[in-house]
Amino acid sequence: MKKNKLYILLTLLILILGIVEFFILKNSHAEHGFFLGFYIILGFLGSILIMFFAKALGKFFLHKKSSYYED
Amino acid sequence: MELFSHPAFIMGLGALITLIFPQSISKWLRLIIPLLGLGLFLSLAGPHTNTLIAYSFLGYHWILLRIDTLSSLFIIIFLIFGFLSNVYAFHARGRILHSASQLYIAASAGAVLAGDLVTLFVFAEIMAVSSAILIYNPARKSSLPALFRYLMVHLTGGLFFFAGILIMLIQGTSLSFNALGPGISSWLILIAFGINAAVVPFHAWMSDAYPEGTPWGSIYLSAFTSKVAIYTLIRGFAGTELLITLGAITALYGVIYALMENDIRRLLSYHIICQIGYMLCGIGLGTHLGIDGASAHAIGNILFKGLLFMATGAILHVTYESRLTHLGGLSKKIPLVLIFYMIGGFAISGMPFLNGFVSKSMLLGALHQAHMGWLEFVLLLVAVGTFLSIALKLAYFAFWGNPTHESAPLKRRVPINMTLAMAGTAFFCIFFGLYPTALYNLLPHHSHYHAFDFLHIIQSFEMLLATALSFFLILGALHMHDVLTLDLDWFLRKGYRLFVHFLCCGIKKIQETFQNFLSSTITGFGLKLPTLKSSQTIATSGHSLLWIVFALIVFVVFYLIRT
Repeated sequence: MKKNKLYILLTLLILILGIVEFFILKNSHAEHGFFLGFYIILGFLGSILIMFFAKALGKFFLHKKSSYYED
Repeated sequence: MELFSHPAFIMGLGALITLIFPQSISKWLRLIIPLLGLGLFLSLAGPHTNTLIAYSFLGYHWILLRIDTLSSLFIIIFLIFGFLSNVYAFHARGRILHSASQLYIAASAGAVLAGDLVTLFVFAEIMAVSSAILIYNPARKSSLPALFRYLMVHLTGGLFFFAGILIMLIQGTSLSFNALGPGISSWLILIAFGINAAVVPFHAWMSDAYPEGTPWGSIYLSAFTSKVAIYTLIRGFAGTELLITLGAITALYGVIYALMENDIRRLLSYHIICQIGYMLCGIGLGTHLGIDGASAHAIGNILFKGLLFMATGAILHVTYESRLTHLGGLSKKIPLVLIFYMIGGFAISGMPFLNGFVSKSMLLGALHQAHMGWLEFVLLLVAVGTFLSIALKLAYFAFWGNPTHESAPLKRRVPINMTLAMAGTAFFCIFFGLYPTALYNLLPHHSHYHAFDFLHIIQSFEMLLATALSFFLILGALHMHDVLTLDLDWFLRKGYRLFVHFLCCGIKKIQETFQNFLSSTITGFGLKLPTLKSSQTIATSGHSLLWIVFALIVFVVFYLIRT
């Protein structure tokens, strides 16, 4: 249950920040680089991508048992 | 008179005092000396003056001290951090190690203030030797071989540097240390600096050696060598475009390895490598904002990485354990360490109102100015990985995860001096984060970057929160394993031995053939030859042959360069 509350809290905070970002972007005409919500997508998908990439790299290629260099 | 105010002289005196005086006295003196050095340096530097100490030797003009905005920025932070690390190490005993740490700070200060390449070379070699001593850890058997590997890599780097200087001497180029032009000598020196800065593919020494030191010895290691190298790269190679590509590769490499790592201090070492990548991008751009961003990030890195190493050192101190798989449930036992660790972790992840946010924003701003969107994207991805591995993964598994370890009592308490040192370092992380003007004024080009853009702050929080959400969602799939991750140090550990073995087999074959030929000839005359079979001799000849081959290659390369 504690975990569910954490998910809800995080999602709510992200939503609020996203709405604030939307209004700032709407009211300003300056050039701002990336599109609305880019940082949310980057944070969410980027971390999954990089984590599983590292996991796979370790599992299939680079991880050895901890006594590898002692043998 | 000015020579006696030179920080290297003052800190060198500290090293001597530590070696001679009883430890009960010298530990107090070590708290005073860096502050004394800082005071004398500030009075020597004055506001915006270029002070020089020069001397003549062997018909050349050497510059022992050159103070400008770039060098004084590094010296000020070196001495402040030197003081904080001396506070952290206050309780520890060990005359040689403490003396080495003071000599290491002295040599780093000397290297930063050196105005010519030969003086820089001498100080860099003293740095290499004194820092190697700090890797020695009586509690870890593996520290001694790591020490020798570290020394081997750094002395090889020194050879490259020396070769570069020799070529410049032959060509009659000026040896003063400013921006280095194109040419073979600059390439050799760039490789030497690259080795010291742990640029991929010359990075493996760092993650190999830094986790081996004592909990307090590694604090010194984390701060100086790579930052002196960053300083030398800024001074000598600002605007070298190759560094941008290398920087992006280094940053990605470091963060991916950090995600795979189980040992907490090795994980942090990979993050030094990763942050070096950020700085390289700024240096490679060579614009004012890029250089200032790289300098600010180097300063920030000394502070927040120092803080993270201090906190993990405290974990190691109280549990005798540095593997995430064997840690857990520390949040209630050492809550202060947790708070300081999280400050460091948030700072390195670029959370607004901490110093990492300011320097990272400057670097990303510099990339944005140069229209390098792809690089901005890569570095943002690296920032996500940094937050994921330091502030989420390491913190979760060390302080909360593994409930089975919760009941295990602590082996020792955290000494008060360690806590004070962490508090001091955390103060600077927060101070420069909330009041970046203090940092901007110290930077070489005085860029007053507007980091606190409201939209930028919102976006940074969005990114960090989204990362946190995804971490907690995939937490179930993130089992840690007690494993070792292969890196390029394999070549120094196994590859080197295999190579020698291969050579030995070759030699053995030749010897046997020769011996067979000889004995068959001799027996023809009715004589008998004693058998030559000592594996020791063969191994020794293998090593000598290796060095002969190496010397031959160097000779041929030099011959080709000369003609």
